[in-house]
Amino acid sequence: MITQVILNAVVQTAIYMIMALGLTLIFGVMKIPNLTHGAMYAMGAFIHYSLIEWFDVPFVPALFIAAPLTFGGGAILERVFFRSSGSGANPVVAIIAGIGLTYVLVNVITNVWGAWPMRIQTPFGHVLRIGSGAISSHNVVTTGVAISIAALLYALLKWTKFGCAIRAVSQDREEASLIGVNVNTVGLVTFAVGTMLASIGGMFAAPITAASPTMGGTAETMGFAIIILGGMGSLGGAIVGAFLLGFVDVFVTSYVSGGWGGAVAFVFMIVVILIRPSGLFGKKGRQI
Amino acid sequence: MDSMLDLLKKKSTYIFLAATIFVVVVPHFSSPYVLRLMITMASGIIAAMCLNVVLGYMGYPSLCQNVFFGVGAYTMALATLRLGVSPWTALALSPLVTFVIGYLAAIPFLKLRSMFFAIGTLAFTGVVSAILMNLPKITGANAGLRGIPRLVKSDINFFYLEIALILVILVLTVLMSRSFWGKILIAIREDEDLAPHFGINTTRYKRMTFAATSALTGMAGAIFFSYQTYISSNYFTIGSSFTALAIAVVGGGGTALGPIFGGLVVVGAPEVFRGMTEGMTLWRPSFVGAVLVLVILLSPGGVVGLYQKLASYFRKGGAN
Repeated sequence: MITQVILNAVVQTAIYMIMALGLTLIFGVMKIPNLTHGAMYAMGAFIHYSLIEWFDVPFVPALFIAAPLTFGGGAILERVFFRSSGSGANPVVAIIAGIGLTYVLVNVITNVWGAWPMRIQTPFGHVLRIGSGAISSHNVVTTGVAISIAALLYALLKWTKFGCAIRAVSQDREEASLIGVNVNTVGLVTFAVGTMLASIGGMFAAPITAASPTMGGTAETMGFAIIILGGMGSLGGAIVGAFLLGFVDVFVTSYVSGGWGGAVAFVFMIVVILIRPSGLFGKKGRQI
Repeated sequence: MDSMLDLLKKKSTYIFLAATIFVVVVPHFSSPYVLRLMITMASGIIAAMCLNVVLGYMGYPSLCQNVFFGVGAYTMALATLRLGVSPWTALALSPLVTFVIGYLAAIPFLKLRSMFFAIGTLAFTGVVSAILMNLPKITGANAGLRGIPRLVKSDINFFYLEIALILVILVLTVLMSRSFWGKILIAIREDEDLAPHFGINTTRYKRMTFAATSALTGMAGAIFFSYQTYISSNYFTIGSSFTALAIAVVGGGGTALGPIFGGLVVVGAPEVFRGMTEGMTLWRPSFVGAVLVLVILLSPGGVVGLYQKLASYFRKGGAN
C-alpha cells in the first residue's frame, strides 16, 4: 500500500507543480493572482482533446500544437486584460476581471465540448510495477515533464538574458524599466508562458482525472495554496510547496477519506502561514 | 430649521424617498419569481456591504465572505432543527457564533496582506466547503437539510427584514466612517506599517472589524436560509465567495452605497439575459462574465466611480 500511495503522491505533485510554477511566475512579475489559470488549465485539456479526436493528431504532436496555441491565448489575455501598466495595476481589478473571464471561458468550453467529463486516451498505457505498487507510463511521463519544466524554467531564469530581465522586473518594476528592460514585453511573455504551463498541466491531467469544464477550479485553488505555502513569486517555493501539499493531499485521501485531502492540505498551508506569513521561501520584503 | 431646508434642497433626499417608495411598494406587485430575485439580491448586497468595510475602508480583499454567510445559515438550521430552538432565538444566536468564527479566522489571516490575504481566505473557503461536504451527519452535505422554520410567514416580510438589515448596516457604515474607528481603518488601508507609530493597536481594530462585519453577514445568511427553508453544501463551494467581492468591487469599493448598485448589476445582469432565445440562454454565463469584465475595466471605481466620472465630465462640458 505505502509504495502505491507514494507513487500516486509523486504524480499528484507533478501536476500541482506544473500548475503552481505558472502561477508563481505570473505573480512574481505582475504581482497579481491570475484567476484565469484554472480556466486555461481546462482550456488546454480540451484543445488538446479536439486535436486528437477531431483532427486525428497523435497525442504527443498534439501537445506541441496545443501548447503554442495556449501561449497565444495567454498573450492575448495579458495584452487586453492584465497588462501591469493598465488594468493589471490594481490586483483587486485583476481578480474581478479574472472571475469574469473564468465565467466566459468555462461557458465557452461547456458550449463547445459539453459539460460531461471526457476521458482522453493516452498512448502511454503501459503499466510499470515498482515493488508492490504500479504506475502507468503516462504518470511517469507526466512526472518527467514536470521535472523538465522546472529545470527549463530554472535555466531560463538563471542563464538567459531574458530570464535576467524577468528577475529584474519581479524585483523592482520601475528600476528594471529605468535600466532599459521592456517591462511590457516581459509581462506579456511571462503571462503567456504561465498560461501555457497551466494548459500543459491540464493536458497531462486529463487522461488521469478526465476533462470537464470546471476541472480547473480545484486545481487553481490548490495551486494558490502551494504558492502561498512556498512563498509567492518563488520558483523553489512552488516546487517544495507542490511536494508538501501533493503528499499531504494523497496521504490523507488514501488513509483517511477521499473528501478530506484538499481540506487538510489547506489547513496545513494555513498553519504554515501562521508561523511564517511570507511562506517557506518568501522574503519578508515580498509581502506587498 | 436650516438643516431641514437643506435636506429638501438636496438631490439625495429625493433619491432616498424614491428608493423607499420603491422598496415598500414594488414587492406587493411583483411576481413570486421577481420577489425571490429581490430577496437574493438583498442578501448579496448585505454580504457585499459587510465586505465593503473590510475591503473598501480597511483595504483587505477578503474571499471568505460566503463562509460567514454559511456559518450564520447553518447556525440557524442546526439550532432550529437539531436543538429545537425557536427561529428568532436562532437569529439572535447566528451573529454571535459568526462573530466568534470571524474573530478566530481573523487571527491567522489578517497577518497576510493584500493578495496574500485574498488567496489565504480563498483557501479558508475551501476548508469550510470541504468540512460541510464531508460531515453529512451534521450538515447534510450535498443532500442538505430541509424544513428550516421560517422567521416570518410571507416572502414580502422576509424582504422587509433584509431591507431593515441593509439600513442598519448602512447607518453603521456611515457612523463608522465618520468615527475614530473609521479613520483608523483608513489609516490601516493607506499605510499599515505607519499606523502603529501613532499608538494605534492596528491588530485589535482589524480583528474587531473583521469579526463584526462577519457577524452581520452571518445574520443575513440566517435570514436568507430561513426564507429558503433548505440549505446544502452546494451553496458554499469554493468559488461562491467571488459573488460578494464582485458586488462590492463592481459597485465601487469604499463607498457606503456602492454595494447596492453592485448588487443590482451583478445579481441583476444574469436576469437581463434570461428572456433570450434558447440558443442565447446557453451563453448566459458568458454575458454575465463579460458585463463583469467590462464594468471593472471601464471603471475600476465601480458603478459609483463611473457615475462620478460621467457627472464630472458633463459638469466640465457645461462649463465650456
